[in-house]
Amino acid sequence: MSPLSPDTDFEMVIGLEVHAQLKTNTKLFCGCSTQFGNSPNTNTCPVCLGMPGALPVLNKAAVEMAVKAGLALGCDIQKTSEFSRKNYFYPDLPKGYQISQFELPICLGGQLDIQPKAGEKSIGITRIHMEEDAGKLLHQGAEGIADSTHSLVDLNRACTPLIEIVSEPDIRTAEEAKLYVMSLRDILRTIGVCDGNLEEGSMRCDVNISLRPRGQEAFGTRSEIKNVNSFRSIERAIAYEFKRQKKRLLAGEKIVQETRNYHDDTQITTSLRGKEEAHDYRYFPEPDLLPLVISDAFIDQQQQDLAELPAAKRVRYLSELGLSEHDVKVLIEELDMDRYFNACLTAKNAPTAKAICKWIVGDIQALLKTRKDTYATLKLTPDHLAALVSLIEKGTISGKIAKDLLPQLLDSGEHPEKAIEKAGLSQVSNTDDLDPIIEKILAENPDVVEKIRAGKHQSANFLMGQVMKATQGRAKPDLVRELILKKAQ
Amino acid sequence: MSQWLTASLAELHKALRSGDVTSTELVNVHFNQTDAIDSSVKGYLTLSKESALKTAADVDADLKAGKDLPYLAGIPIALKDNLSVKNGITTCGSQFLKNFEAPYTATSVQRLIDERMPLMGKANLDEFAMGSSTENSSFHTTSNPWDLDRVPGGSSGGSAAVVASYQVPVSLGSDTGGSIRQPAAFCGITGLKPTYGRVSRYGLVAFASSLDQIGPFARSAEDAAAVLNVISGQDPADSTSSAEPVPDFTANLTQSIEGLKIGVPSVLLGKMVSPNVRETVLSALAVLTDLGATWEEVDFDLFDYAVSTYYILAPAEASANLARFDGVRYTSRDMNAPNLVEMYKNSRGEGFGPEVQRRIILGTYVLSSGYYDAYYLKAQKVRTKIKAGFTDFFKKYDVMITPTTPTVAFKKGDHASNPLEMYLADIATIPANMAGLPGLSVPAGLADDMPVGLQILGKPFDEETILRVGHQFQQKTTHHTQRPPLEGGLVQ
Amino acid sequence: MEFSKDALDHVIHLSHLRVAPEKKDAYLKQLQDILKYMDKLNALDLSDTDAATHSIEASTPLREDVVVESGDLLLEKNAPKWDDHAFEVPQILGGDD
Repeated sequence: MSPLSPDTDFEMVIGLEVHAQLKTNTKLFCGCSTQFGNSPNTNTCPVCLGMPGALPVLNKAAVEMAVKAGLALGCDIQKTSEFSRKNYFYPDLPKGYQISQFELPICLGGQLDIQPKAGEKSIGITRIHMEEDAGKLLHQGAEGIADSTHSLVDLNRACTPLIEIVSEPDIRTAEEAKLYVMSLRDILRTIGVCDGNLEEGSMRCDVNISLRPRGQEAFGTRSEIKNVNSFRSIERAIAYEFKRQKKRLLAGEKIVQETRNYHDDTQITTSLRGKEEAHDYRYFPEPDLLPLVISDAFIDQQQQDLAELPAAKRVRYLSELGLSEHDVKVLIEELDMDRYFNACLTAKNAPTAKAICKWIVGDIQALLKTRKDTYATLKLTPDHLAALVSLIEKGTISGKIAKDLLPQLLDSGEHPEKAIEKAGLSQVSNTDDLDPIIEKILAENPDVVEKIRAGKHQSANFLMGQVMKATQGRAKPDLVRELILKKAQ
Repeated sequence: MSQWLTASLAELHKALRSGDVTSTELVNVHFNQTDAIDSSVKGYLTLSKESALKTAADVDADLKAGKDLPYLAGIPIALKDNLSVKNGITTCGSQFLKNFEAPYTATSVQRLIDERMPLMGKANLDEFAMGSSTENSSFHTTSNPWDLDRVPGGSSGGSAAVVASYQVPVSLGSDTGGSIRQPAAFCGITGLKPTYGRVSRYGLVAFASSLDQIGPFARSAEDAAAVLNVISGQDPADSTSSAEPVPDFTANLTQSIEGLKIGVPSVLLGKMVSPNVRETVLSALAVLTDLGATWEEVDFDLFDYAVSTYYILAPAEASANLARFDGVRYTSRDMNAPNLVEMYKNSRGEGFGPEVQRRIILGTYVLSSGYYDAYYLKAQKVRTKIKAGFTDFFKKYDVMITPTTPTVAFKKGDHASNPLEMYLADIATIPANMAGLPGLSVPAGLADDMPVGLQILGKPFDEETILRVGHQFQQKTTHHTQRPPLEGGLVQ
Repeated sequence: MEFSKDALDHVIHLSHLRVAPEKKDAYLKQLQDILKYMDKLNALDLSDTDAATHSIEASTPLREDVVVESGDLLLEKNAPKWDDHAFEVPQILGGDD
C-alpha cells in the first residue's frame, strides 16, 4: 500500500444497525408484560427465565409490527422467515442463546429517504429481523462493569421484542447518519411500532464506520461503535471515529475490525476487544419454533392498518393544508398532538387547518406543558377547540378573549359557546351598543379627536384601547376602529 | 392385593368403579411393591407418597359420592424425572439439578393430574436423557428386572423398570432416539413414541427439541393407547405441538389386521442383528401373517445413515439446550469462582457428567464456524432424505417392522468406554425420530431369557394402526404377560 | 478432517466447560472415532436436497398479545445466589477470556 498523503481527503462509509423495541403489551415469546419500572425479575415466567423445559411461542402483535415496519420502509416482506439461535454465554441471556433471525429474516430490501442540506438522498435498507432483547445487569461496587465486584441480573427486559433494521453502507456523513436515525424514528413512531426513545433505550444504534480516500471504490476496514444513545452522540461518535481512523491511516497503521464502545461523558470510543471472546455464535435454526409463514391477507391487513407515513404527511400538510414548515415538523414529531389536530379537523364546521394548528402548536401546547397535562387527559375536546377557533373566525369573540378563556376551558371541559355565553364574553358587534360608548370616549378626548381629524389615523389606536377597556375587550376591533374614524370626522 | 399389580388399566378402571378396590389401596399396594423391590431395581429417584395418597383419597371420596370421573382416575402412574412437576424436584438424572424445584408443571403431567391419576414418583434416567442404559444417571444405575446385572436400557430406563417390576401399571418416558422403545424392549414391556407434535413438550427438559417426544410405558398396547388418549393434543405453550385431531386410540384396537402390508428393512434382519433376536422377530412376523398381514423385506439403506445424522443433530441442539444450565439461576454453582467465566466453566464442568459433556462438545463442534456445512447442514439434508425415504415407504406399506434393538439388554459396563458402540445400538430406533414417526415396541418373546422387542413404525399421526397391530399381536401371544424372575415375586 | 486437540480445546472453551486433562485425552479419542464414523454421510449425494430442521411441516402458531401473570416462580429458592430480587453473579470481567 502506497503511503497516504497527509492531505488525503477521506470519505466515511457508514452503515447503521438500529434496534427498535416493539410496543407490544407482552414479550416476544411469552405472555409477560413489557412494562418498565417494576421491581427486578417480576415481569418473568419460565419462558423468559430460561427455565428447563419452557418453550417459546411467538407474539402475533410483534409480527404485525415487524411487517408494518417493513412496509413503511418499502421492504419485501418474506412469506417464510425463520428464527435461529445465536449462542453465547452472558448472565443477561438466560437460555445461553438469543432467539433471533439469521438466514431468513422477515424483511429484505427497502429504503429510507432523508433530506440532508446537500439535497434528498436515499439510504438502502438491507434487512429487518426480529429478535428478543437480553435482560439487564446491575453492576455492584462501582459505577460500571470495569471495577464492579459482582453484578445483579434482572430479567424483566429479557425476551422483549426488538426489530433490528440494518442499513446499507450508503451513509457518508454524520449529518446523514443523524437524519437517517431521526426519520427512522419518526416513521416507527408514526406507525405505532416503537416509541423511539433513544435515551431510554427503546431505540439503540450501532454504527459501522470505515474510511476510504475519496474516489476509492473499495471499502476500508470498519469498526462497529456501540452504546450510541442519543442523536448528539451519533454525530459525536462518528466525528471521533473519523478522527481516530484518519490518524491511524495517515500514520500508516491498519484499522482493526473490532467492536468499540462509545462513552458519552468523554466523547471517545474504546475497543471492546479482549472482553469479547472470539465470537462464534453457532447460529442454527430454532427447533422450538416452526418457520414463520405469513399470508398475503396478513400483509394486506398490515398495509391497511398502516398510518400515513411522515414523508407523505409532510407533503400533504404543507401543500394541502398550508401549514408552516415549523408546524409540520412539530406535528410529525408529536404524535399525540397530531392525532388531536386531526380530530379537530374532522369536527363539525371545523375552521381552517391553519387556524387550528396555530392554536394547538402555540397556546394549547404551552398550557399542557405548564400544567403538566397531556392530550390523553386534556378536557378540551377536539370538538371544543374547533368550536372555539370557529367562534374567533366568525368574529363572535376576539383571539384575545379566546386566549384568556383557554385555561378555564381546560379546567372545566365546558363547551366554549356555553362558557362565553355564561361569562357574557361574546363580541359586541352591534353599532347601537357601541355608539354611546364611543361617543363618550370621543367627548372625553377632544385632543386625540383633533389629531385624527388632522389625518393622524394611528391616533385612533389610543381611543380603540379605551373602548376595548370599557367593553372588557368584547368589542369587535375592526368595527370600533371604523366607528371611531367615522365619528371623529 | 397382588392381583392389582398385574391388572390391565381396563380392569383397574372397572374395579375402581365397582368398589372392588380403592385408589388408596392401589397406591398402597404399588408402593409396597416398590418398598419390596426397588432397592434392587433402583427404578425410582424420588417417590411422592404423600401427594399420590392425597390424589387417591380425593378420587376415592368422589367415586364414593358417585361422581363422574375421567377414565384413568385413581390409577397410579410414574414419571421420568425430566418432566417438570410444580414444587417437585426435577433432576434430569443430574447432580447439577439435584435441588431444583420446578416452578411449573409440564403440560403432559398436568393432563395426568386433570385425569386424577396419582403421581407415584420420578423415575431414573440417563443424565439429561443422554444414554441407552441409565448408566449415565449421576445418581445410580437402574437394573433390568429380568437380570439385575444388565441394564434396563435408556434413557427412560427407570420408567421402564418400574413398570416391568410391577411397581406401577404405567409410566411416562421421553424418546429422542429410542429412549422409550429401547428400554421397553429391554424390560419386556410395551413402549410408545408418539408422532412428533402429538404430545406437548412443554415442561419436558429438552435434550434435542426437534426429536424429543413424550410417550407411555405400559404392559400392553391397549394400556399405552389409554394413556396416549390422556396426554395427546395441541398445547398453546408448545409451538411444535400439532393441531391434528386426536382420535380415541383405544377405539379401533379390536379391528382385524387382515390385509395389512408390512415392510421389513433387510439391514435389520441382517448381520448387525444378533441371531436370536432375528429368530424372535421372524416368529413374531409369522404370528402377524397368521393374523392376515403380509410382509416382505425392503431395501431401506437410509438406516445406515440415520445414526450419523442423529449424533450430529441431537448433540447440536443439545449443546444449545444445555447452555441454560450455567450456575446463574437454578443449578448448583461453584461458589468460590473469582469471576464469571470461571464460575461458568467450573459449575458446568462439575455439574455435567462425561456423556453430557461429550455431547455438548460434539454438538458445539458441528455447529462451529468452519464445520457447520460439513456436519450440521449435511445432517439436516440427510434428514430430508430419511423423511422422503419413509414417505415413499408408506406409499407401499402400512407399517414398518424391525427388531427394536439389535441385541437384548447388555451387561452393565459393557459399553462404558466406547460411546460409539453404544450409539450404534440405536440404529433401529433413531430413524423414527428423524422423520417424526410414531413407533411402538412390544415384547416379542425371550432370547437367552431376556426380552426381545418388536418395533412397529407407522405413518405420521397414525398411532392407531401401530397400536392396533400391537394389540392384535398381544391378543395372539403371551409375551407381554411374561413376568421377570423377580426375587420375592409380587407383594401380597 | 481430523479432530485435533486444538479443536477440542477451542470447543471446550466455547462450551464453557472445565475438563480435566486426563478426561480430555479420553474425549479426544472418543470424539475422533465418532466424527470418523460421520464420514459415512459423504457417500450420499445431497446436491439437490434441502435441509430439514423439523419433521413436521407447518407454520409456527402466533399468540395473542395478552399479558399472562405467572405465579410464584421459586426464584429465590432455586437461585445459587440471590440479592435484592435479583440473581447475583461474580465479577464479570477477568478470567481466561
